Amino acid sequence: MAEKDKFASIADSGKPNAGRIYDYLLGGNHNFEVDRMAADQVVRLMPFFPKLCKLVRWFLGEAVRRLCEQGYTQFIDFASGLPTVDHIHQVAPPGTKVIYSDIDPVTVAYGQEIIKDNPSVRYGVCPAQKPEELLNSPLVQQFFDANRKVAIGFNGVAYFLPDEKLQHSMKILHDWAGKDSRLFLCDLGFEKTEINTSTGKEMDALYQRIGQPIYPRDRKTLETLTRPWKLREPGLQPLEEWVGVKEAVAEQSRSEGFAMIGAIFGK
Amino acid sequence: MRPAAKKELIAAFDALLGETAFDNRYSLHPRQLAQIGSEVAEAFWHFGDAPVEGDAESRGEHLAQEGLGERTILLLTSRLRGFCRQDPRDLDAAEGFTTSLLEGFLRAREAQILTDQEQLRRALSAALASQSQELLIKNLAVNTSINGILLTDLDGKVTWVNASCLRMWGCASAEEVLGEAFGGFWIDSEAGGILAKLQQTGGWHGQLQARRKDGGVFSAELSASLIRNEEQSPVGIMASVVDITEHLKAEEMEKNLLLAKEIHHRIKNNLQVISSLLFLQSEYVQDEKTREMFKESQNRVRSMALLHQKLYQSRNMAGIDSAEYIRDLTRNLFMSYGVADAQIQLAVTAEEIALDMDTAVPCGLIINELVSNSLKHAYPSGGPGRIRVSVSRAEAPAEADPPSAGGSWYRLIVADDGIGLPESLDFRKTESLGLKIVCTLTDQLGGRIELDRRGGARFTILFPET
Repeated sequence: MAEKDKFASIADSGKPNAGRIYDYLLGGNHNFEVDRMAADQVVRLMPFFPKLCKLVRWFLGEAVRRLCEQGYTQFIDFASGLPTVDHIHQVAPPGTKVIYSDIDPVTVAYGQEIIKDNPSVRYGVCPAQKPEELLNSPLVQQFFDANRKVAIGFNGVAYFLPDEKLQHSMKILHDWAGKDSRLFLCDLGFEKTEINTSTGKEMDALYQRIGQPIYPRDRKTLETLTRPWKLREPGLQPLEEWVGVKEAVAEQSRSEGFAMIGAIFGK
Repeated sequence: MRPAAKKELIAAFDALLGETAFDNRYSLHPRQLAQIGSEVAEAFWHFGDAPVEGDAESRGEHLAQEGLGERTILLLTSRLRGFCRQDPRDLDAAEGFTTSLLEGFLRAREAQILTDQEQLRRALSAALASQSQELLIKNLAVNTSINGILLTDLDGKVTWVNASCLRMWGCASAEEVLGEAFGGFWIDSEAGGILAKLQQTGGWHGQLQARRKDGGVFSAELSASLIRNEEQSPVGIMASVVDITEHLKAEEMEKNLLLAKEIHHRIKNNLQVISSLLFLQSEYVQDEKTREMFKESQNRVRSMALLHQKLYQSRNMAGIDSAEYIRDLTRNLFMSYGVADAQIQLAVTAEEIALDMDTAVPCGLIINELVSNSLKHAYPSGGPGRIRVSVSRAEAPAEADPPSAGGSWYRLIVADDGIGLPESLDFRKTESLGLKIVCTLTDQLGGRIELDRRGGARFTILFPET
């Protein structure tokens, strides 16, 4: 995105913003009518999409709770969206250091305003496919201890990245992270290789229209692409299982083989 | 109510909440739902047994803060009323409880929405303030740019200009140019076609002659491009103008300088050829005196060739470094006459004086003649001796004529400690070609020459800057 375009979108509150659309789909209040209208279009095509979004946040909360219990006190999150209710800094104990990041400068500008009174939280612009931009920035180097034992969030974004870019991100993060670091990642996946389902085609077409192709993957492929990170128990599971949603309800978030799957990985 | 009924109610709430997990805000984690069911049932039980004012409302507020969705709480209250409908007293309690619960819930939701919207508004304001600062800096950058910046509409009518642009065209204010046609700023007919080219290619770059308000002309480098909006539709034209008049002049001077250097190089080469021809010719001459004349001529030509060499080797060709020239010239003469430093010492002292060509040529020839004279005649036994050449700035002589009186004067001294000139010799009237040349060139320089015969021969020549 050119610099002028970034600012045009900040100035123009009459245009939908990805972070605010996501907030609306999650049931948040940090959105405008224009965002809600755009979100409704997405929901018409993919009625299960808001449920997927909630599953991602619930998984994120679940993973953060578990990792905090294990003593992790430094978190880096990619494709964070708006750091509103139930994001990492609100789930983790006070004093836990959290760095959020997002590719969208508008979202980051909002996010910085929201977290400005919290000295343990930072927010920077970084595309998930180039984590080195954040990791090598003064923001990370000055905020974290020399100890790089961190927990890294990479949720709901991998399916926007082609294989080589996802592999690049995983390797960069793995190389940078200290011993015993963790990666908690969830992604849009297929139970089988059912990319040819009608929903799959519709979804693909929708994203193609907005110039953002998607790359849903089955578990095995996702596991391969996230290497050298190592899967930890219980492995890649549907998010409904992670967060304890009843099977009958979980069905609402699936369509023709689509499911959100997630795991905690270790270094 | 029966104690067992509480368990039934909790089970009913759990079942309901489990089915509505996705209807709640994402902040409410599914694992918290079971706890919410039992908390609401517990609160209702307290309300039925010993109602405390505000309890149910507080519970409703808490549920909203936890993230319970509107649909979920309505289903929850509906389920409670349904559960209590068998007993009118229970039903009354349920009505009272749910009314208060919903009031508290809605109040908290409203407050939550207002808080979040206020936070969003603040975030938007912060983002806008940041953008405004960016825009202010960009605006200042364009306004204060040393390049002329000019904006027009798509028809080429000027809509905005910066201060540099006004300066270039000699205008006092923007009003003088706003609304004027872009093409009117230029002399070249090519300017008329720029708008059409911009529409085709989106950009144009080139040099044009511009007409100032007072009719003056300056050379300008123009870069023009279409301004496009987010939809890539053209909305105007931006032109950046640089006054390159001085640059072109400097370029022209640079070209002339290169040309002049080339000319001096060729003259030097030609003089060297002449010098070589004189040498070759002298090889065929048997008579020693005649051979000597050839050698003298050869040295004169070489002194001039050296001058041209120094000139084209100089940085700006404004003049030559006199000290360096004199050293090289005299060294060449020593070599030409086969004189070693051990026999006759050479001392050259020269201030940093840049002599122009009109002065340097006669000056060089004078030094050539006088040093040659010293080498040939001052030391019949071959030395030892000392020849001194110096050039320095000097006071203008009192009797100097205008116009040179006000300019710089120089003093050239060529001296030796040899046997000196015969007392009877009047150097101004001698038949010696060398001394004739010296006197003639001194006159040519507008200078004056003096000879001091004490301890050898010391010629002092005062001459003005040409």
